[in-house]
Amino acid sequence: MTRRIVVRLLQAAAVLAVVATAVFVLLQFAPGDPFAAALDGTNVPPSVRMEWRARYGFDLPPAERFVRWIGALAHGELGYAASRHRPVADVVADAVPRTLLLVGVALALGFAAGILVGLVQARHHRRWPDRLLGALTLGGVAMPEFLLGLLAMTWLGARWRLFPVAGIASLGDTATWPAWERALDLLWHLALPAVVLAVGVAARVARHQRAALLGVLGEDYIRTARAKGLGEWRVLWHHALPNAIGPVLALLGLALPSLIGGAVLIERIFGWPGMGLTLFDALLARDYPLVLAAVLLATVVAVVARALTDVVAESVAPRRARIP
Amino acid sequence: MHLLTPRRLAIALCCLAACRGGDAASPGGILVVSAGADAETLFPPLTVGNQGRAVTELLYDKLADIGPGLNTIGDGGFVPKLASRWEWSADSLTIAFHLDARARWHDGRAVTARDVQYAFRVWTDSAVGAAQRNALATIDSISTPDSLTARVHFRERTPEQFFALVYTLIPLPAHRLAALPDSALHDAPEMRAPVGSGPFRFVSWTPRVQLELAANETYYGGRPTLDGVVFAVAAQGATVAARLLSGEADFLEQLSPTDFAQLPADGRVRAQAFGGFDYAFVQFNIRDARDAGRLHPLFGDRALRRALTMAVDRATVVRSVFDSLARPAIGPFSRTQWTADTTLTGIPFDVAGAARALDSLGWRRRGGDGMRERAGQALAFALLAPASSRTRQAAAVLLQAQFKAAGVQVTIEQVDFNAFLDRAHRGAFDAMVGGVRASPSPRGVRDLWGTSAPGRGALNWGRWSNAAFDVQVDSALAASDTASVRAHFRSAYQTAIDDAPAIWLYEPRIFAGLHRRLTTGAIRPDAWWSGVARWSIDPAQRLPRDRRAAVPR
Repeated sequence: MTRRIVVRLLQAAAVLAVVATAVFVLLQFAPGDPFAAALDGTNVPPSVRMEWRARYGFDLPPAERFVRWIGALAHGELGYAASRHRPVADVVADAVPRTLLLVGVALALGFAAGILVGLVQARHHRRWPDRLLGALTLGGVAMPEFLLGLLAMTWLGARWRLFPVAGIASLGDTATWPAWERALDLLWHLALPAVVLAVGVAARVARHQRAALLGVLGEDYIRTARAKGLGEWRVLWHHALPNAIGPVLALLGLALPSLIGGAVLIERIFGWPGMGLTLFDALLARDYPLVLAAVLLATVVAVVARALTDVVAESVAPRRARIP
Repeated sequence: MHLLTPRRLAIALCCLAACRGGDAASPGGILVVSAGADAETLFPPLTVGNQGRAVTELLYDKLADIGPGLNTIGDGGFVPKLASRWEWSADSLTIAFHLDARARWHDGRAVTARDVQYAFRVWTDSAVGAAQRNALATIDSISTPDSLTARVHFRERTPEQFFALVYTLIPLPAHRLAALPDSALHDAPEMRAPVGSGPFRFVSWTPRVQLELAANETYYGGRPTLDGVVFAVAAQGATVAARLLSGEADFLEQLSPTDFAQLPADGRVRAQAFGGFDYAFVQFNIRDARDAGRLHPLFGDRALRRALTMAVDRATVVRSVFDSLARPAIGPFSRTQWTADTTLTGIPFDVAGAARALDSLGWRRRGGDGMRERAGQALAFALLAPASSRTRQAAAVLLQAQFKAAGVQVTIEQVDFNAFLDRAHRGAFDAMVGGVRASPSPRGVRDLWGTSAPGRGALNWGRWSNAAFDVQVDSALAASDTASVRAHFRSAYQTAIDDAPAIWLYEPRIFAGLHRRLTTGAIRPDAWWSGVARWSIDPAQRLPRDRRAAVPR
């Protein structure tokens, strides 16, 4: 086990190094820098632009900037987000918890709903509930998240006013509200973006869960359970599901990075100020240190998620996990 | 689809009339502004964008403010703010500003002449890198004969010296900031919780989420009618509009044509017109994109530029893209600028005339596709357009079709905004759909269209050069009476129109979106936020969020 962890850590470090270098090099091919995005096209004099660039090291050759950036990173410094007039670490510290909350809730909702739908489909195999839910999950997989987000924002937010259009808290002096009221307010703002993100996850999980359940429902132990007179739901819940959940849990490792990718657009649509929106803004502003930090964080999350998935899969089905 | 239907126009005019009579407002209510961008900083010298200006100018007062007429010559029409009065020296090289003795910083300390002097130092220190530092280049120093008098000494007299000073320089609280080195001001924590002198005080700022201001109860100009202002930020254009349409926000600075079409029929949200300073154009690159030492093979030819201008039906382009929410531009200025002249003679849309002109230049239609060529070279060019602007993209497509009808082959190059700026800056384009937001001062025309040289032409990306234009602009900017300024600018503008460095495309009509509970006065075109202290919210239409009064924490 220890050897596996060490190997995993080395792999993760290699992935991070490759991603960091690749992103830095790719960004060099993109035109502009934070000051071009903010100042070009304005009447800010060239001397001021040069001063701003020199202040944050954007007048240095790319190779030197890369070496400096890597050196700072080794000391735990992420640099300075010139577009925000703040250290990158501060910007990230604000944004990461919000994205974790959004993605975490979406993941939990998506898996819970997906497993439930998969159970219902397996219970009513080849009957109308199965066909109806099958069509809906197909739609859920096919529907782009940004489109669903825009539809939800327009209809449920702007037109029917059931949910707030954007943001993470009601406008005004919410800081003086009691904690429970603030928590409810946060959940109310979280509802639309989290559900929109969860739809795709739920659809994929449901399709996998249905297939996995149907795969085990023909097994001898299921037949035995039915022969003992157990109800169909009890058979599904207590006997089939534990044996069919492994492959679905393995989806966690794949779902997390894709959810983080989806969060970029969803956070933008719903004004949710997490890492996705931060990355989007940073790209538009050509704020390279912030882009690099965001991409590195996303990579870390993907690597950790993959490792956790392996551990979960191994603990759920040890024999399966040991197969090379 | 007519966006500005007679019914909507009538509603807008009625609302406008109602707004003008809305002085008897009771205090209270929180104005929620739906904003598409956040303030980049709350430190006035570093603000570049409109959002930063809006917030900092609600927090900090200037010495004086431009009047409703937007005059920029002398001090005519300027409104006293921190300075209750001012006196000019006989030679106009010194202006003594007498500060209002009632003016206080939000921490209770009096605003003094030292604050003005300190602000000047900060603005002109290269360690700070103030964005508009050049505007103060004609000021030599500021002296403080007493605590309430700031004497500004100029190196030279210029017609806009008063405007340049008061429009740019915002007094800063020396008692809080002077202890910090200037180079540390960029990132100082004090900049994230500013103490100003304006009608609203800072409450909180969650970057990219919301920024909250509260009424300054002890404001020397009288307490604002509103209890507070909240800027609610969203990055997506559709979300910004949806906030207003759903009632979550009270105000949106600019409705897009799409937003306008979505205004609810029940009058819950209305549109209020205010003149903007934007204008857009197709800018020709006069120099070869690969070798700036040579003229562009096509656009170096004035006659060809004029012929191409003649081939464009700008009225149709404007109607198709904006319906009635824009009008064809006249020249290198906005109609809102006080030097604007609507009697200038433009190059008319004339398909037959354009065809004759192109024929006479040797660009003849070839068989087959009907495109024009000369000596085997096709009359073709690339039109650069930023992907960030849907209206400019739409205009580019329509122009492409109109040029094709004239036998000119146009390829649209749609690029990301940063790439657009980069290529524009390097002159790496044939022609581009450009746009600018002018300011009340007509001085900007020298940067945009003047011959590239130190102090001028910094934004003249098409590298057009016309000595007659430069001379007229210089004369206009040196003239001290408005009649002369207007006459010189008229001549300069006409020269630019005749020489066709660009096809003057459109000027959007700016409509703000307002919730019906909000009452405003006339909105100043260059700074919608300038009158917010006197805006009010109908007590009968207050919401729970208004009762949760914003208080400093």
